[in-house]
Amino acid sequence: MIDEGSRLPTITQILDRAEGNRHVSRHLLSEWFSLFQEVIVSHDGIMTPGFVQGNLENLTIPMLLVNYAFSYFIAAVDTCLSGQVSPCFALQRLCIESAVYAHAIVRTPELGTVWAMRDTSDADLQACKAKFKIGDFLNDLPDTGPAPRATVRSLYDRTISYGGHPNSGGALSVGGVDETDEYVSVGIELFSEGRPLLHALEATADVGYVMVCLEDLMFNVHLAPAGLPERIAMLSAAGLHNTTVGGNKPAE
Amino acid sequence: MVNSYWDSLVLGRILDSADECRRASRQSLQRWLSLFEEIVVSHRGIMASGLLQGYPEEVGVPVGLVRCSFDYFTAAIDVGLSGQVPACFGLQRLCIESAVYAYSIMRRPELGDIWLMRNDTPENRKSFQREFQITDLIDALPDSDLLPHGDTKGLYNLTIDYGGHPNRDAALASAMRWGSKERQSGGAEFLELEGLPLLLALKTTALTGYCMACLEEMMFSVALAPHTFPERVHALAVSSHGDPKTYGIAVARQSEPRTR
Repeated sequence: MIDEGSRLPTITQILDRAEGNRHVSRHLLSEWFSLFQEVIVSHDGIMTPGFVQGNLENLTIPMLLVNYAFSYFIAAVDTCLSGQVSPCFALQRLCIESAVYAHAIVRTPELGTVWAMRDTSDADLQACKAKFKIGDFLNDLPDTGPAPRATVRSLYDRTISYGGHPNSGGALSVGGVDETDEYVSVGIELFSEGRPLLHALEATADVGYVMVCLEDLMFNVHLAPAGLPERIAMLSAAGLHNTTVGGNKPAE
Repeated sequence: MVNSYWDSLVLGRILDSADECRRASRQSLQRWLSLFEEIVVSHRGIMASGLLQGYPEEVGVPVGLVRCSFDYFTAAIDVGLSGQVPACFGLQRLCIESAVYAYSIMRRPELGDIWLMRNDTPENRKSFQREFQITDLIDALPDSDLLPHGDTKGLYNLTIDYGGHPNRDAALASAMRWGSKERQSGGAEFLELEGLPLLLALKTTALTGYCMACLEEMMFSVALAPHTFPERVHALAVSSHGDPKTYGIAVARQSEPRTR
Protein backbone atom coordinates (compact mmCIF):
# COMPACT_ATOMS: atom_id res chain seq x y z
CA MET A 1 0.00 0.00 0.00
CA ILE A 2 1.29 3.42 -0.89
CA ASP A 3 0.63 6.29 1.47
CA GLU A 4 1.28 9.74 0.10
CA GLY A 5 -1.80 11.90 0.07
CA SER A 6 -2.15 12.39 3.79
CA ARG A 7 1.05 14.44 3.84
CA LEU A 8 0.18 16.79 1.00
CA PRO A 9 -0.76 20.38 1.80
CA THR A 10 -3.30 22.58 0.04
CA ILE A 11 -2.30 24.99 -2.70
CA THR A 12 -2.61 27.90 -0.29
CA GLN A 13 -0.29 26.20 2.16
CA ILE A 14 2.17 25.41 -0.62
CA LEU A 15 2.24 29.01 -1.85
CA ASP A 16 2.53 30.31 1.72
CA ARG A 17 5.42 27.98 2.37
CA ALA A 18 7.19 29.06 -0.81
CA GLU A 19 6.77 32.70 0.13
CA GLY A 20 7.99 32.07 3.66
CA ASN A 21 11.02 30.18 2.42
CA ARG A 22 11.90 32.98 0.00
CA HIS A 23 11.65 35.51 2.80
CA VAL A 24 13.90 33.47 5.09
CA SER A 25 16.37 32.60 2.32
CA ARG A 26 16.91 36.20 1.35
CA HIS A 27 18.12 36.87 4.87
CA LEU A 28 20.00 33.64 5.52
CA LEU A 29 21.58 33.31 2.09
CA SER A 30 22.75 36.86 1.60
CA GLU A 31 26.18 35.77 0.35
CA TRP A 32 24.59 33.70 -2.40
CA PHE A 33 22.27 36.58 -3.11
CA SER A 34 25.31 38.79 -3.60
CA LEU A 35 26.80 36.35 -6.14
CA PHE A 36 23.54 36.28 -8.09
CA GLN A 37 23.56 40.09 -8.11
CA GLU A 38 27.06 40.05 -9.64
CA VAL A 39 25.71 38.02 -12.54
CA ILE A 40 22.87 40.49 -12.98
CA VAL A 41 25.20 43.48 -12.92
CA SER A 42 27.34 41.83 -15.62
CA HIS A 43 24.34 41.04 -17.81
CA ASP A 44 22.98 44.53 -17.30
CA GLY A 45 26.32 46.06 -18.25
CA ILE A 46 26.57 44.04 -21.44
CA MET A 47 23.02 45.05 -22.37
CA THR A 48 23.62 48.76 -21.72
CA PRO A 49 22.38 50.75 -24.72
CA GLY A 50 25.25 51.46 -27.06
CA PHE A 51 27.65 48.99 -25.51
CA VAL A 52 27.23 46.18 -28.00
CA GLN A 53 28.54 47.09 -31.43
CA GLY A 54 28.48 45.29 -34.74
CA ASN A 55 25.99 44.38 -37.40
CA LEU A 56 22.97 44.93 -35.25
CA GLU A 57 20.54 43.28 -37.65
CA ASN A 58 22.39 40.03 -37.12
CA LEU A 59 22.24 40.49 -33.38
CA THR A 60 18.49 40.95 -33.01
CA ILE A 61 17.66 37.28 -32.50
CA PRO A 62 20.65 36.58 -30.23
CA MET A 63 19.61 39.59 -28.15
CA LEU A 64 16.10 38.18 -27.88
CA LEU A 65 17.45 34.86 -26.74
CA VAL A 66 19.87 36.42 -24.29
CA ASN A 67 17.03 38.32 -22.66
CA TYR A 68 15.08 35.12 -22.60
CA ALA A 69 17.98 33.30 -20.90
CA PHE A 70 18.07 36.07 -18.34
CA SER A 71 14.38 35.68 -17.52
CA TYR A 72 14.95 31.96 -16.86
CA PHE A 73 17.92 32.80 -14.67
CA ILE A 74 15.79 35.15 -12.57
CA ALA A 75 13.08 32.48 -12.27
CA ALA A 76 15.71 29.92 -11.27
CA VAL A 77 16.92 32.22 -8.48
CA ASP A 78 13.32 32.79 -7.39
CA THR A 79 12.44 29.09 -7.22
CA CYS A 80 15.77 28.20 -5.64
CA LEU A 81 15.26 30.66 -2.80
CA SER A 82 11.84 29.11 -2.19
CA GLY A 83 13.43 25.66 -1.90
CA GLN A 84 11.80 24.22 -5.04
CA VAL A 85 14.92 22.44 -6.18
CA SER A 86 13.82 20.31 -9.16
CA PRO A 87 11.98 23.21 -10.83
CA CYS A 88 15.06 25.35 -10.24
CA PHE A 89 17.22 22.91 -12.23
CA ALA A 90 14.59 22.83 -14.98
CA LEU A 91 14.82 26.60 -15.32
CA GLN A 92 18.62 26.47 -15.27
CA ARG A 93 18.49 24.07 -18.20
CA LEU A 94 16.35 26.50 -20.18
CA CYS A 95 18.69 29.36 -19.30
CA ILE A 96 21.69 27.48 -20.71
CA GLU A 97 19.80 26.36 -23.81
CA SER A 98 18.69 29.90 -24.61
CA ALA A 99 22.19 31.33 -24.17
CA VAL A 100 23.78 28.52 -26.21
CA TYR A 101 21.23 29.01 -29.00
CA ALA A 102 22.05 32.73 -29.00
CA HIS A 103 25.76 31.98 -29.24
CA ALA A 104 25.20 29.53 -32.11
CA ILE A 105 23.20 32.12 -34.06
CA VAL A 106 25.88 34.76 -33.56
CA ARG A 107 28.45 32.33 -34.96
CA THR A 108 26.22 31.18 -37.82
CA PRO A 109 23.75 33.97 -38.60
CA GLU A 110 21.75 31.93 -41.13
CA LEU A 111 20.58 29.83 -38.20
CA GLY A 112 18.60 32.87 -37.10
CA THR A 113 16.33 32.54 -40.10
CA VAL A 114 15.82 28.83 -39.43
CA TRP A 115 14.92 29.61 -35.82
CA ALA A 116 12.57 32.47 -36.74
CA MET A 117 10.77 30.42 -39.41
CA ARG A 118 10.31 27.36 -37.19
CA ASP A 119 6.53 27.41 -37.12
CA THR A 120 5.89 28.58 -40.65
CA SER A 121 5.49 25.13 -42.19
CA ASP A 122 6.13 21.49 -41.38
CA ALA A 123 9.27 21.61 -43.50
CA ASP A 124 10.53 24.61 -41.55
CA LEU A 125 9.80 22.84 -38.28
CA GLN A 126 11.77 19.81 -39.41
CA ALA A 127 14.63 22.04 -40.58
CA CYS A 128 14.70 23.75 -37.19
CA LYS A 129 14.70 20.44 -35.34
CA ALA A 130 17.53 19.19 -37.56
CA LYS A 131 19.70 22.27 -37.07
CA PHE A 132 18.98 23.11 -33.43
CA LYS A 133 20.44 20.21 -31.53
CA ILE A 134 21.70 21.39 -28.18
CA GLY A 135 24.35 18.63 -28.05
CA ASP A 136 25.85 19.81 -31.33
CA PHE A 137 25.84 23.43 -30.21
CA LEU A 138 27.55 22.52 -26.95
CA ASN A 139 30.19 20.63 -28.92
CA ASP A 140 30.77 23.73 -31.04
CA LEU A 141 31.74 25.85 -28.04
CA PRO A 142 35.44 26.71 -27.84
CA ASP A 143 37.83 24.51 -25.87
CA THR A 144 39.11 27.39 -23.80
CA GLY A 145 38.14 30.93 -22.87
CA PRO A 146 35.39 32.20 -20.60
CA ALA A 147 32.90 29.45 -21.49
CA PRO A 148 34.88 26.30 -22.26
CA ARG A 149 32.99 23.46 -23.85
CA ALA A 150 33.67 20.90 -21.11
CA THR A 151 32.52 23.24 -18.34
CA VAL A 152 29.29 24.22 -20.05
CA ARG A 153 28.56 20.64 -21.09
CA SER A 154 29.14 19.35 -17.57
CA LEU A 155 26.89 22.03 -16.10
CA TYR A 156 24.18 21.36 -18.67
CA ASP A 157 24.30 17.63 -17.89
CA ARG A 158 24.00 18.46 -14.20
CA THR A 159 20.84 20.50 -14.80
CA ILE A 160 19.39 17.65 -16.87
CA SER A 161 20.17 15.10 -14.18
CA TYR A 162 18.70 17.03 -11.27
CA GLY A 163 15.46 18.40 -12.62
CA GLY A 164 15.84 19.61 -16.21
CA HIS A 165 14.44 16.29 -17.32
CA PRO A 166 12.44 13.71 -15.36
CA ASN A 167 15.46 11.60 -14.38
CA SER A 168 16.18 9.47 -11.40
CA GLY A 169 18.90 11.84 -10.13
CA GLY A 170 16.42 14.62 -9.64
CA ALA A 171 13.68 12.46 -8.21
CA LEU A 172 15.94 10.61 -5.82
CA SER A 173 17.86 13.69 -4.69
CA VAL A 174 14.78 15.28 -3.20
CA GLY A 175 12.90 12.18 -2.14
CA GLY A 176 13.15 8.90 -0.39
CA VAL A 177 11.36 5.67 0.43
CA ASP A 178 9.96 4.93 3.88
CA GLU A 179 8.71 1.43 4.51
CA THR A 180 6.80 0.05 7.46
CA ASP A 181 4.78 -3.14 7.92
CA GLU A 182 1.69 -1.25 6.89
CA TYR A 183 2.74 0.93 3.99
CA VAL A 184 5.46 2.07 1.67
CA SER A 185 5.83 5.80 1.18
CA VAL A 186 7.67 7.22 -1.83
CA GLY A 187 8.18 10.78 -0.75
CA ILE A 188 9.33 13.69 -2.89
CA GLU A 189 9.73 16.83 -0.86
CA LEU A 190 8.14 19.90 -2.39
CA PHE A 191 10.62 22.12 -0.57
CA SER A 192 14.24 21.20 0.05
CA GLU A 193 16.82 22.34 2.52
CA GLY A 194 20.35 21.25 3.31
CA ARG A 195 22.54 19.76 0.62
CA PRO A 196 19.93 19.61 -2.15
CA LEU A 197 19.30 23.33 -1.68
CA LEU A 198 23.02 24.07 -1.50
CA HIS A 199 23.55 22.10 -4.70
CA ALA A 200 20.82 24.11 -6.42
CA LEU A 201 22.28 27.41 -5.21
CA GLU A 202 25.72 26.49 -6.51
CA ALA A 203 24.36 25.34 -9.87
CA THR A 204 22.22 28.47 -10.22
CA ALA A 205 25.25 30.70 -9.68
CA ASP A 206 27.32 28.58 -12.09
CA VAL A 207 24.59 28.79 -14.72
CA GLY A 208 24.36 32.55 -14.34
CA TYR A 209 28.12 32.81 -14.75
CA VAL A 210 28.06 30.66 -17.89
CA MET A 211 25.25 32.82 -19.27
CA VAL A 212 27.26 36.03 -18.93
CA CYS A 213 30.41 34.32 -20.22
CA LEU A 214 28.52 33.32 -23.35
CA GLU A 215 27.31 36.93 -23.63
CA ASP A 216 30.97 38.01 -23.35
CA LEU A 217 31.87 35.62 -26.14
CA MET A 218 29.09 36.46 -28.52
CA PHE A 219 29.24 40.25 -28.12
CA ASN A 220 33.01 40.45 -27.66
CA VAL A 221 32.85 42.34 -24.38
CA HIS A 222 34.50 41.45 -21.11
CA LEU A 223 32.15 41.98 -18.21
CA ALA A 224 31.77 38.48 -16.76
CA PRO A 225 32.70 38.78 -13.08
CA ALA A 226 36.31 37.74 -12.56
CA GLY A 227 36.94 34.95 -10.07
CA LEU A 228 33.25 34.12 -9.70
CA PRO A 229 33.61 30.33 -10.12
CA GLU A 230 36.24 30.24 -7.38
CA ARG A 231 34.04 32.27 -5.06
CA ILE A 232 31.07 30.04 -5.81
CA ALA A 233 33.17 26.99 -4.95
CA MET A 234 34.37 28.59 -1.71
CA LEU A 235 30.89 29.56 -0.65
CA SER A 236 29.64 26.10 -1.45
CA ALA A 237 32.43 24.48 0.55
CA ALA A 238 31.68 26.75 3.48
CA GLY A 239 28.02 25.83 3.19
CA LEU A 240 28.82 22.14 3.31
CA HIS A 241 30.45 22.61 6.73
CA ASN A 242 27.24 24.06 8.08
CA THR A 243 24.76 21.83 6.32
CA THR A 244 23.53 18.35 6.93
CA VAL A 245 21.87 16.14 4.33
CA GLY A 246 18.51 17.03 5.79
CA GLY A 247 19.38 20.67 6.26
CA ASN A 248 19.73 22.97 9.20
CA LYS A 249 17.76 25.91 7.93
CA PRO A 250 14.55 26.56 9.79
CA ALA A 251 11.56 25.74 7.63
CA GLU A 252 9.81 29.02 8.25
CA MET B 1 22.51 50.98 -30.24
CA VAL B 2 20.83 47.65 -29.67
CA ASN B 3 18.61 48.01 -26.72
CA SER B 4 16.56 50.77 -25.22
CA TYR B 5 15.75 49.27 -21.91
CA TRP B 6 17.23 50.48 -18.75
CA ASP B 7 18.76 51.89 -15.80
CA SER B 8 20.18 49.33 -13.37
CA LEU B 9 18.79 45.89 -12.75
CA VAL B 10 18.71 44.97 -9.08
CA LEU B 11 17.95 41.42 -8.01
CA GLY B 12 16.27 42.46 -4.76
CA ARG B 13 13.86 44.73 -6.59
CA ILE B 14 13.06 42.12 -9.23
CA LEU B 15 12.29 39.53 -6.56
CA ASP B 16 10.31 42.07 -4.56
CA SER B 17 8.25 42.81 -7.65
CA ALA B 18 7.69 39.10 -8.23
CA ASP B 19 6.48 38.70 -4.64
CA GLU B 20 4.16 41.69 -5.00
CA CYS B 21 2.76 40.20 -8.20
CA ARG B 22 2.17 36.91 -6.42
CA ARG B 23 0.33 38.56 -3.55
CA ALA B 24 -1.79 40.63 -5.92
CA SER B 25 -2.54 37.60 -8.11
CA ARG B 26 -3.60 35.51 -5.13
CA GLN B 27 -6.15 38.20 -4.35
CA SER B 28 -7.36 38.96 -7.87
CA LEU B 29 -7.21 35.46 -9.37
CA GLN B 30 -9.04 33.49 -6.72
CA ARG B 31 -11.21 31.67 -9.24
CA TRP B 32 -8.08 30.35 -10.90
CA LEU B 33 -6.63 29.39 -7.52
CA SER B 34 -9.81 27.48 -6.82
CA LEU B 35 -9.32 25.48 -10.03
CA PHE B 36 -5.70 24.77 -9.12
CA GLU B 37 -6.87 23.62 -5.70
CA GLU B 38 -9.19 21.09 -7.37
CA ILE B 39 -6.16 19.51 -9.01
CA VAL B 40 -4.28 19.44 -5.70
CA VAL B 41 -7.26 17.82 -3.98
CA SER B 42 -7.56 15.30 -6.79
CA HIS B 43 -3.86 14.44 -6.64
CA ARG B 44 -4.00 14.19 -2.85
CA GLY B 45 -6.98 11.88 -3.07
CA ILE B 46 -5.34 9.60 -5.60
CA MET B 47 -2.22 9.41 -3.46
CA ALA B 48 -4.19 8.84 -0.26
CA SER B 49 -3.51 5.93 1.98
CA GLY B 50 -5.26 2.78 0.86
CA LEU B 51 -6.26 3.89 -2.61
CA LEU B 52 -3.15 2.80 -4.44
CA GLN B 53 -2.71 -0.92 -4.44
CA GLY B 54 0.06 -3.00 -5.89
CA TYR B 55 3.60 -4.10 -5.32
CA PRO B 56 5.73 -1.23 -4.12
CA GLU B 57 8.55 -2.29 -6.40
CA GLU B 58 6.20 -1.93 -9.37
CA VAL B 59 4.59 1.36 -8.50
CA GLY B 60 7.53 2.98 -6.73
CA VAL B 61 9.04 4.61 -9.82
CA PRO B 62 5.70 5.82 -11.25
CA VAL B 63 4.69 7.24 -7.87
CA GLY B 64 8.06 8.99 -7.60
CA LEU B 65 7.60 10.50 -11.05
CA VAL B 66 4.03 11.53 -10.26
CA ARG B 67 5.30 13.35 -7.21
CA CYS B 68 7.93 15.08 -9.37
CA SER B 69 5.17 16.03 -11.79
CA PHE B 70 3.17 17.52 -8.92
CA ASP B 71 6.29 19.40 -7.81
CA TYR B 72 6.59 21.01 -11.25
CA PHE B 73 2.87 21.77 -11.28
CA THR B 74 2.96 23.67 -8.00
CA ALA B 75 6.13 25.49 -9.06
CA ALA B 76 4.40 26.47 -12.32
CA ILE B 77 1.56 27.99 -10.28
CA ASP B 78 4.04 29.78 -8.03
CA VAL B 79 6.05 31.38 -10.83
CA GLY B 80 2.95 31.90 -12.98
CA LEU B 81 1.23 33.94 -10.28
CA SER B 82 4.37 36.06 -10.04
CA GLY B 83 4.04 36.91 -13.72
CA GLN B 84 7.09 34.96 -14.90
CA VAL B 85 5.28 33.57 -17.89
CA PRO B 86 8.02 31.79 -19.93
CA ALA B 87 9.29 30.05 -16.79
CA CYS B 88 5.72 28.96 -16.01
CA PHE B 89 5.44 27.26 -19.42
CA GLY B 90 8.86 25.68 -18.94
CA LEU B 91 7.68 24.05 -15.73
CA GLN B 92 4.41 22.92 -17.29
CA ARG B 93 6.44 21.08 -19.91
CA LEU B 94 8.31 19.18 -17.20
CA CYS B 95 5.05 18.43 -15.40
CA ILE B 96 3.61 16.78 -18.50
CA GLU B 97 6.82 14.91 -19.28
CA SER B 98 7.06 13.49 -15.77
CA ALA B 99 3.43 12.35 -15.75
CA VAL B 100 3.75 10.77 -19.21
CA TYR B 101 6.92 8.96 -18.15
CA ALA B 102 5.12 7.69 -15.05
CA TYR B 103 2.18 6.45 -17.08
CA SER B 104 4.45 4.75 -19.62
CA ILE B 105 6.41 2.95 -16.90
CA MET B 106 3.17 1.85 -15.25
CA ARG B 107 2.03 0.31 -18.53
CA ARG B 108 5.41 -1.23 -19.29
CA PRO B 109 7.20 -1.90 -15.99
CA GLU B 110 10.41 -2.92 -17.78
CA LEU B 111 10.84 0.76 -18.67
CA GLY B 112 11.33 1.48 -14.98
CA ASP B 113 14.71 -0.24 -14.94
CA ILE B 114 15.76 1.55 -18.10
CA TRP B 115 14.79 4.86 -16.51
CA LEU B 116 16.58 4.07 -13.25
CA MET B 117 19.81 2.85 -14.87
CA ARG B 118 20.00 5.58 -17.50
CA ASN B 119 23.38 6.89 -16.39
CA ASP B 120 25.07 3.58 -15.56
CA THR B 121 26.66 2.88 -18.95
CA PRO B 122 26.66 4.43 -22.44
CA GLU B 123 24.54 1.49 -23.63
CA ASN B 124 21.97 2.18 -20.93
CA ARG B 125 21.90 5.80 -21.96
CA LYS B 126 21.23 4.88 -25.58
CA SER B 127 18.56 2.45 -24.51
CA PHE B 128 16.93 5.19 -22.45
CA GLN B 129 17.07 7.66 -25.31
CA ARG B 130 15.50 5.09 -27.63
CA GLU B 131 12.63 4.17 -25.31
CA PHE B 132 11.88 7.55 -23.75
CA GLN B 133 11.08 9.68 -26.76
CA ILE B 134 8.44 12.00 -25.34
CA THR B 135 6.52 12.39 -28.58
CA ASP B 136 6.37 8.61 -29.04
CA LEU B 137 5.19 8.19 -25.46
CA ILE B 138 2.52 10.87 -25.88
CA ASP B 139 1.42 9.28 -29.15
CA ALA B 140 1.07 5.97 -27.32
CA LEU B 141 -1.33 7.40 -24.73
CA PRO B 142 -4.80 5.87 -25.02
CA ASP B 143 -7.70 7.85 -26.36
CA SER B 144 -10.23 8.21 -23.57
CA ASP B 145 -13.23 10.32 -22.65
CA LEU B 146 -11.20 11.64 -19.78
CA LEU B 147 -8.21 12.69 -21.85
CA PRO B 148 -8.71 12.60 -25.61
CA HIS B 149 -5.63 11.63 -27.54
CA GLY B 150 -4.93 14.97 -29.16
CA ASP B 151 -5.33 17.04 -26.00
CA THR B 152 -2.08 16.03 -24.33
CA LYS B 153 -0.07 16.52 -27.49
CA GLY B 154 -1.66 19.90 -28.19
CA LEU B 155 -1.03 21.03 -24.64
CA TYR B 156 2.55 19.77 -24.68
CA ASN B 157 3.27 21.58 -27.94
CA LEU B 158 1.81 24.75 -26.49
CA THR B 159 4.13 24.57 -23.47
CA ILE B 160 7.07 24.03 -25.85
CA ASP B 161 6.10 27.01 -27.99
CA TYR B 162 5.64 29.46 -25.14
CA GLY B 163 8.53 28.75 -22.82
CA GLY B 164 9.32 25.04 -22.58
CA HIS B 165 11.98 25.53 -25.21
CA PRO B 166 13.73 28.67 -26.47
CA ASN B 167 11.39 29.18 -29.43
CA ARG B 168 10.29 32.19 -31.39
CA ASP B 169 6.77 32.81 -30.12
CA ALA B 170 7.70 33.13 -26.49
CA ALA B 171 10.86 35.10 -27.15
CA LEU B 172 8.97 37.53 -29.37
CA ALA B 173 6.19 37.88 -26.81
CA SER B 174 8.77 38.69 -24.17
CA ALA B 175 10.56 41.11 -26.44
CA MET B 176 7.35 42.94 -27.29
CA ARG B 177 6.55 43.19 -23.61
CA TRP B 178 9.98 44.48 -22.65
CA GLY B 179 10.13 46.79 -25.62
CA SER B 180 6.77 48.32 -24.80
CA LYS B 181 7.57 49.19 -21.21
CA GLU B 182 9.83 51.63 -19.55
CA ARG B 183 12.13 50.13 -16.99
CA GLN B 184 10.18 49.83 -13.78
CA SER B 185 11.66 49.47 -10.34
CA GLY B 186 14.86 47.87 -11.57
CA GLY B 187 13.41 45.11 -13.69
CA ALA B 188 9.70 44.67 -13.02
CA GLU B 189 9.05 44.71 -16.77
CA PHE B 190 10.07 41.06 -16.77
CA LEU B 191 6.84 40.25 -14.96
CA GLU B 192 3.39 40.00 -16.47
CA LEU B 193 0.72 40.81 -13.92
CA GLU B 194 -2.16 41.00 -16.36
CA GLY B 195 -3.09 40.52 -19.98
CA LEU B 196 -3.15 37.77 -22.53
CA PRO B 197 0.20 36.11 -21.76
CA LEU B 198 -0.74 35.68 -18.10
CA LEU B 199 -4.22 34.44 -19.00
CA LEU B 200 -2.77 31.89 -21.40
CA ALA B 201 -0.29 30.77 -18.75
CA LEU B 202 -3.07 30.36 -16.17
CA LYS B 203 -5.25 28.41 -18.58
CA THR B 204 -2.49 26.04 -19.65
CA THR B 205 -1.32 25.58 -16.06
CA ALA B 206 -4.81 24.45 -15.11
CA LEU B 207 -5.07 22.15 -18.12
CA THR B 208 -1.59 20.77 -17.43
CA GLY B 209 -2.70 19.95 -13.89
CA TYR B 210 -5.79 18.28 -15.26
CA CYS B 211 -3.71 16.25 -17.71
CA MET B 212 -1.51 15.15 -14.80
CA ALA B 213 -4.53 14.14 -12.70
CA CYS B 214 -6.08 12.21 -15.60
CA LEU B 215 -2.87 10.29 -16.20
CA GLU B 216 -2.71 9.50 -12.47
CA GLU B 217 -6.29 8.29 -12.61
CA MET B 218 -5.56 6.05 -15.58
CA MET B 219 -2.36 4.62 -14.16
CA PHE B 220 -3.68 3.89 -10.67
CA SER B 221 -7.25 2.94 -11.65
CA VAL B 222 -8.91 5.43 -9.36
CA ALA B 223 -11.45 7.98 -10.50
CA LEU B 224 -10.70 11.30 -8.86
CA ALA B 225 -9.81 13.66 -11.70
CA PRO B 226 -12.21 16.60 -11.42
CA HIS B 227 -15.22 16.28 -13.70
CA THR B 228 -15.96 18.97 -16.31
CA PHE B 229 -12.67 20.62 -15.45
CA PRO B 230 -11.60 21.56 -19.01
CA GLU B 231 -15.01 23.10 -19.65
CA ARG B 232 -14.74 25.19 -16.50
CA VAL B 233 -11.20 26.26 -17.35
CA HIS B 234 -12.38 27.35 -20.75
CA ALA B 235 -15.39 29.14 -19.28
CA LEU B 236 -13.20 31.02 -16.83
CA ALA B 237 -10.78 31.98 -19.59
CA VAL B 238 -13.63 33.20 -21.73
CA SER B 239 -15.14 35.15 -18.86
CA SER B 240 -11.73 36.70 -18.25
CA HIS B 241 -11.82 37.83 -21.86
CA GLY B 242 -14.38 40.42 -20.84
CA ASP B 243 -12.27 41.60 -17.97
CA PRO B 244 -10.76 44.97 -18.87
CA LYS B 245 -7.48 43.77 -17.41
CA THR B 246 -7.16 41.06 -20.04
CA TYR B 247 -7.09 41.11 -23.79
CA GLY B 248 -8.61 37.80 -24.79
CA ILE B 249 -7.55 34.23 -25.24
CA ALA B 250 -7.90 33.88 -28.98
CA VAL B 251 -4.29 33.03 -29.79
CA ALA B 252 -4.30 29.71 -27.98
CA ARG B 253 -3.56 26.97 -30.49
CA GLN B 254 -4.60 24.15 -28.20
CA SER B 255 -7.53 21.99 -29.07
CA GLU B 256 -11.01 23.12 -28.21
CA PRO B 257 -12.40 21.77 -24.95
CA ARG B 258 -14.28 18.59 -25.48
CA THR B 259 -17.76 17.81 -24.30
CA ARG B 260 -18.39 14.78 -22.24
